[in-house]
Amino acid sequence: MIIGSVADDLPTSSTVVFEGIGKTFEDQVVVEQLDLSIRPGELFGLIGPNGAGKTTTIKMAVGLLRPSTGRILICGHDIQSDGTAARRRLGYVPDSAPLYEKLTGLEMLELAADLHGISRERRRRRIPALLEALDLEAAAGQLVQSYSRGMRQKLALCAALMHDPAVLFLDEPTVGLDPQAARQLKVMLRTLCATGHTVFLSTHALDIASVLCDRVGIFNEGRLVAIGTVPELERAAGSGTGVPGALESAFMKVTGGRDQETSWLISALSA
Amino acid sequence: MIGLATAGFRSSWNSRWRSGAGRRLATMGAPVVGILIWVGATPVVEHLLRRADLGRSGHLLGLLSALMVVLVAFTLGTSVSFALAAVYFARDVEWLLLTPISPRLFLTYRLSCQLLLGICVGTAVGGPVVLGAAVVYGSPGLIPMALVVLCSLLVVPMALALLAVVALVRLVPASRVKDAAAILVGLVGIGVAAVDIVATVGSGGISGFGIGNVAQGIHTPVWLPSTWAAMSLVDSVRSQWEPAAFLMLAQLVLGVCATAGAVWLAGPMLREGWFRSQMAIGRRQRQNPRFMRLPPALAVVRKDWRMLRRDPAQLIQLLLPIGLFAVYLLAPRSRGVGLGAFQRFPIWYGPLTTSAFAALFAASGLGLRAVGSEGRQFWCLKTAPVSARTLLLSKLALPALVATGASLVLMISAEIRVGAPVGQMAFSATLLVVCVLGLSSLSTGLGAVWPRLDWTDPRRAVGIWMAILFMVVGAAYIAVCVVALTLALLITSQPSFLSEALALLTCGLVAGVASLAALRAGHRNLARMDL
Repeated sequence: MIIGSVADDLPTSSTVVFEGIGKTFEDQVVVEQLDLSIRPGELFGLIGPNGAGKTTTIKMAVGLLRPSTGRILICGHDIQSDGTAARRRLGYVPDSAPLYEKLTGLEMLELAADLHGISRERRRRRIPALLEALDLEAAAGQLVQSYSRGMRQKLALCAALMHDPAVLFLDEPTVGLDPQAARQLKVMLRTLCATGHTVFLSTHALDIASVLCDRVGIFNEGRLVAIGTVPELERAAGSGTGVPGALESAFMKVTGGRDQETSWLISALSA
Repeated sequence: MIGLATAGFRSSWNSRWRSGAGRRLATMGAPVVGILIWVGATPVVEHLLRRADLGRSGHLLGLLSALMVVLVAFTLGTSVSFALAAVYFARDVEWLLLTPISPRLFLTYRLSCQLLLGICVGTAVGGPVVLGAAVVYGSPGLIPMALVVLCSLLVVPMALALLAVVALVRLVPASRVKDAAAILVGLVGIGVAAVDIVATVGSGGISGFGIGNVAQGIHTPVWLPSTWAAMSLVDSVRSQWEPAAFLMLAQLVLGVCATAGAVWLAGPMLREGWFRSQMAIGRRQRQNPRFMRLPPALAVVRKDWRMLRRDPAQLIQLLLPIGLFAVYLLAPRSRGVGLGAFQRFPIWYGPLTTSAFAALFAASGLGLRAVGSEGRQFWCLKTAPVSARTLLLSKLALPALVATGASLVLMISAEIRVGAPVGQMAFSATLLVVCVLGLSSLSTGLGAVWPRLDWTDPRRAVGIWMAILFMVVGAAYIAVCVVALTLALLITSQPSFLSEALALLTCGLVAGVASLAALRAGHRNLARMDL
């Protein structure tokens, strides 16, 4: 069932364009025929059940996986054939970002700055500013191996923002963050979009998606089954607009999830 | 226990059979290659054993006693790091400790895995020797006897190491224990080698690693379990099965008791030690941000250097073989590298070939794991605007620098000791640099073709079979360089400008071809790698 418009036209001003993207792992189709474009300054959220293909999609977009079919353009550059130029324009924070344990937070950011060719003057301003913005100043001189999960997530975000990318890809960005840090992140993301940056995030937290995202795409079994603004999705699913839990209900309807029905769970557990 | 073993087997099988066509091919090909090596090596071993004529029980017992002591010491050293990795750093530890499985069962399972691994490696490496001995001495019963005796003997240091590690970690965080153990093992290894070489040479024995002493027969105390193992094997060779079986039984009982005792004692200490090992160590580094800008390639080299020097265990793993070669080349009153055998050749011939082998270990320690050492952090570099070519060359820089530097220092020190002229030293240094650069490229390229990124311990960034494969390939590369060099030198009856120029050219050619092939293959894989 498709709600809202799925296959947008592909405006030339789009920051991120997925054209016929598909990925197959040893005869198993993980992502199937994805066509999607993200506009500049848009905060796009990708939601879906576990194993739907969200992380695979993001990994293809940042060049960590090669698509089996199609191509992905980042600011007009193909991530596969023109990868260096494309990666210059994107930042990426993976889920549970593994970082170099034996580097300090400061050294991690210096590495990110070196890899992106940030000038000395610019990093002199930017590194302290990013550390301060994410409350990592005190821990900057400690080895990453002493960081908590949330601190690592924040450090990875700092590194991703070091070169002021046009597009930011975030995979489950709020996992591991305390409420204050999660709020800081939301404010930061909205500010980034307001200043023309594009954010593409995947999340299980539907409240994040409903509050933060300009548009939401629902992924299920490797396919983008619905796309639109949150009110559009809620209306189309008949859940009511702006009602608490409306997006969740819409999500359940679209993905065929079991909504409000727990007897199956009780009988499974007592078997 | 059966459930754990089944899960372990399935996990291992899946990682080899269901992780892509390449892995499947390697899984099928490895046993075939192994069997071919066995088939080829066994007759060679038989021939060597017949020539050595070790049938005289005195020499055989002495040799086996020494070998058992070395095996026990080696197993003790490696078991410490295995125990640390398996009990505190493996990814499944947290999950297993949360299940109703008792800590003792968990430790027994890990010990069994280690023993099984030891059997596999031991069979692969020592199988031809045992087979050859069984044929030479007409004693087929030697094969099962050797298996039981060696397993029973070596499980004792494994169990003791496990107990020691668990007891230590109860008091000191596991990462500190790991670092301290690595440093200790390294220092002990170099110290033992140094004493052994100096003592052997001082007594007029054959230079190098105690071969002279061994040949004369070491008589270890009878009460040592390693001596029982040696005596049991000697009795098997002589088909004296009753004493052999008695000693084997004693060995078996000792092995079982040691295992049971270690597991029994370590079980209650495990959880507390594991909680302690989870404590983060927030070592504060010097905060002195210079905000210097480096090109991406140099930034990667600097990052790799920082990671290496902050991990004592990795450093020791790298320095230990170089240290052993240094002891061998520079031991007091040592004839160095037996220059008498190389009278026809220039004075630098012996030091150069030996230093090249030292570089082989350095290249294996750094180059082979250069890409693999990135581990799960590889996304940081793969998502940066750095081409695969730049990435590979940046990974080559550190191994090339270290291997070249270390081997040059060794060779020049050895040449100074034997009074080589400065001109000859300069020429041999050039040759060595060319050879070692090729070796470093070979190791880095191969390491990029089959990187292992799913490790939990950075020292496991290279699989054991990959390490063995590289040692074979690297040794073959050095051999080809040496043969090419030798032929070039033999063209003229005396070393001359022509022969040396030819030597440099041939070495350069071999190094160039090997480098290009390995780096191209590595680059192709890096550019197409999925993470």
